[in-house]
Formats: sequence, C-alpha cells, structure tokens
Amino acid sequence: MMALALSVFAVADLPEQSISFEQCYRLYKERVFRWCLRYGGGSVAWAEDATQDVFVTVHARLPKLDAGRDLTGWLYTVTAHHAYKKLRREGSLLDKVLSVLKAEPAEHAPSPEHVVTTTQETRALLDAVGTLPANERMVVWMTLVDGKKGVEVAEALSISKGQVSKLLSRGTERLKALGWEAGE
Amino acid sequence: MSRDLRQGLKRAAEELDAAQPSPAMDAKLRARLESPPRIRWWIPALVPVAAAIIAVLVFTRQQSIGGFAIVEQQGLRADARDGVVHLEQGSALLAVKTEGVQLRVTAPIDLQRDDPGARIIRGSAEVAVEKRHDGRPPLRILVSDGTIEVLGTKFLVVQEEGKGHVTLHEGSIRFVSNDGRVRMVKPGETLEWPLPAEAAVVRAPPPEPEPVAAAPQVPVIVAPTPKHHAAPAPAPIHYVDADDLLRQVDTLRSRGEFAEAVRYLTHGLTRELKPGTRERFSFELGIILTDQMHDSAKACAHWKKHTATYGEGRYGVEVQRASARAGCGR
Repeated sequence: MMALALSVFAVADLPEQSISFEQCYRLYKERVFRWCLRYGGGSVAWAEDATQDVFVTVHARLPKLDAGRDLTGWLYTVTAHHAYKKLRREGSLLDKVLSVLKAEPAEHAPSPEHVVTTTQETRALLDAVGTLPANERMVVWMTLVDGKKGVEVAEALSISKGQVSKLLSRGTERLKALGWEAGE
Repeated sequence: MSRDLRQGLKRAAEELDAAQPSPAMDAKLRARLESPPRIRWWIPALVPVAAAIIAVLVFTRQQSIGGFAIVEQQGLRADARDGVVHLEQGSALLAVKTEGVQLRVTAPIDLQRDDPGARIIRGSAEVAVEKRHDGRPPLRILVSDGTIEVLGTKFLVVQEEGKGHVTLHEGSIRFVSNDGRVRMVKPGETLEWPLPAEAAVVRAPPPEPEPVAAAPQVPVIVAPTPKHHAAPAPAPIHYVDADDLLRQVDTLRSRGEFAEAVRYLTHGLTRELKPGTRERFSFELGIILTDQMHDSAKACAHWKKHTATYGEGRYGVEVQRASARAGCGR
C-alpha cells in the first residue's frame, strides 16, 4: 500500500528544498486518517474523504512549508478545520438538497462494514457524540481527548475562545443527559 | 463498566486508532490531484436564482415611516419625530398592515400610530379599513374631539385646528366624542366635531316611565345612567346573532342609552358564545362602564374580572388603558 502511495505522488512537482508530497503523505496519512475517524464517528468512508481533503490542501501549500519542520501541529489544525467544515456542510440544508440533486450512488453512503468495529460501549459513546452539533463534537474531541487548549481549538475552528468554553460545556451537558459522567 | 466521558472518549480513540485507511483512498486522492480543479456546477446555477431573489426583495421592500408602511408615494417629503409623521410635500398611501388599514394622505398632514389605528393631528386622510373579523376590536382613528371607531369601511377625515369632520363613503362608523357622546354615521353623511352643545341633550325619556325600576332579565352590574330619571321595565331582548346584538348595542350607545346597552351585553354574555365573541362583549361592556357611564367602581370591578378571565387577551393594551382611565388601582 505504501509503495503504491509513493509511486502515485512521484509526479508531484516540488522545489528541491521542500519536503516532497510523497514523504509528507507517507509520514502523516495514517495519523490524519485516525483524527478524521474520530470526528466522523468511526466511519471509514467519511474519514477517507476528509483525509483526502486535508492532503489536497497539503499539496497546494507544500511549496511554502519548511522541510525541516514537524508538520504534526499544522496538520492537526488543518485536519480539524477540514473536518469541521465537512461536518457543518453535511448538516446544511443546501448540502441535503445537493445530495438529492446529485443522486449519489448507494455505495457512497456509509454501510456497516465501512464503520470500524468497536466495543458496544465505544459504539454507544460514538453514537452519542454523533448527535452533537458539529462545533460541539469537534470541541469535545479536541479538548477532552487531545488535551488542546481553548486558544488552539478556537484557532483551528475559527471561533472565539469564549465560544470554545461554551461549546464544551454545552456538549458535555448533552452527553451527561445521555448518561455519561463528565467528571472534572 | 465506567460511564466516564473522558475515559470513554480516550478508549474510543484507542480503538479507532487500530483502523487503517483502505488502499482505494490513495487512488482517489491521486485522481483528485490530477484532475482539473472541480467547478461547483451549482454555483453558476444559483447566480440567477440569487439575482432574482435580490431583485424581488429590492422591488417589493416597502419603506416605512413612524410605524406606517409606505405602500405608494408621489414626490413625498416627510419626516417622523417622536412618533409623529409630518408630511411636508407630496402624497402617500400609508398602511398599518397588522390592522388592515390604509390611509391615503396628501401634505400637509401630521399623524401618528395609535394602536389599533392612528391619530390625525392635522390634515386630511382618506381611510380604508378592511372588514374587522369577529372578535377584533374596532379600529380607532383618533381626532381632536373624539374617536372614530371603524368596523370596516372607507371615509375621509379632515382635522383642522380644534375642529374637523368625517365623511363616510361606505360601511359604518361610530364617533365617540371625548365627553362620551356617541354618533353613528351613515354612508354619504358628514359628521363635524366638536359636537354642537345641543347634541349633548339625551333623547326624551321613555313614553311611560315606571316609577319603580323592574328587575332586569339578567343580572346587570351597573346602575341606570344619571341621564335617565327612571329605568323603564326591561323590554325583551331580541337579536339574531352576535353581530346583530353588537349593532343594537351601537344604536343604544348612539342614543345615550348606556344602561340599556349594558343590559344587552350582559344578556349576551349569559348565552353560549365563541370565546372571541365573549371577550369582545366583555370588552365593550367595560368600555361603556368606563368611558360612557364613568362608573369607576363598576368599571374597575369589571376590568378585574375581565383580566382574570381573558388575561392579556385580544384587547390587553386597550384594557390597560381603559383601567387607567377609570382610575383602577389608585
């Protein structure tokens, strides 16, 4: 699989001093995919779509990136930003109308085998988190699991720091109502 | 198993971390990178739709002044200060859509929103009022010496310095002067204000006054008006429906027979009525007690009962004003 990935992106036209796209893809694709998998509630198809979105951005921005720099932080922000956009778009009326107009084939819809197998407890939690609005869902994952600070979450989602606190409190309240203990 | 949210999320993240992207993802990404930038086909399709919506909004958007929507206007120069609309030049068709009233006005005129209706301070206005549906209070056009109450009609109001007149084109209106006298105006008639002094004389007492007032057919909560020396034996009350009863009440009010109007309304309230009609009867009854019989005690008792029954209801603001006029709560 990795070999395929390397050959696929060998055509990338990049300056010599920059990190190559294939290097970047090889190094970070699984990490980006896993972040996306969380935001997409364990849907593989959703996570793969979001991962592609992230690497399309990486491809466009790569010439400006520093070859020696660890891209993890930057990629985390880009991934969160894209995942949030995608979740919001999917909840919008326009997207619902367009998906009807486009009459997407059935195989694009997530099927049970496209969802990662988890324990029953985890599935229940992923489903509960999936009921949250996009912004609350993102804030819950980024804060409670990744331990990101309010300012980092705010920057990634292009919202204010105050809003992050409100969204976190609202999201945890909703999950508490569904039987989860928020703790400290 | 713990239901701790943070722990649960971390466990979920660990379980999800075991998943791998499919090889198809690489191929799809390659296809996306090699294909020309995707054109969102629906954006050009939305452009004419958006333009049409904007055009409709621009052309149908009505301006407003002092709480009136400007439906039409010609060479209008106007301003509104402290709620008073002052037309310096031109003419306009103003509307209070929620009340279904339109006023065709030509400068110079000063007028003001006074719900439900308007106050003409100076100048003339052709007024058209949509038929008031069952239960809605009459629309009121306030002038210097009273109020024109309208149930659906067209008329011309002219308000000059300290005097004025109204000419009725169609429908029916009732003029309630500030001293409580009521005049009905028929189509083609013109009524001038202030009402002449002689108009204050109440019609002659009934032909055969009884020395002792007989008990009314139903409990009446007001005494006969001071204008009557003795109350006649209560005549049987006949009416076809609620509208007919209200018309008869209007006629009685125009004759100054307020106690009789109260008796009619009280009788009506003992019958089975639609909730809106019942509230209207109760409201009219309170207005007569307040503004025409000036019986503060009974008016206040009535408004208290009315508010307890209907709450804010359809006439909330008017009831509050009438209660204030009656001096309730002082």
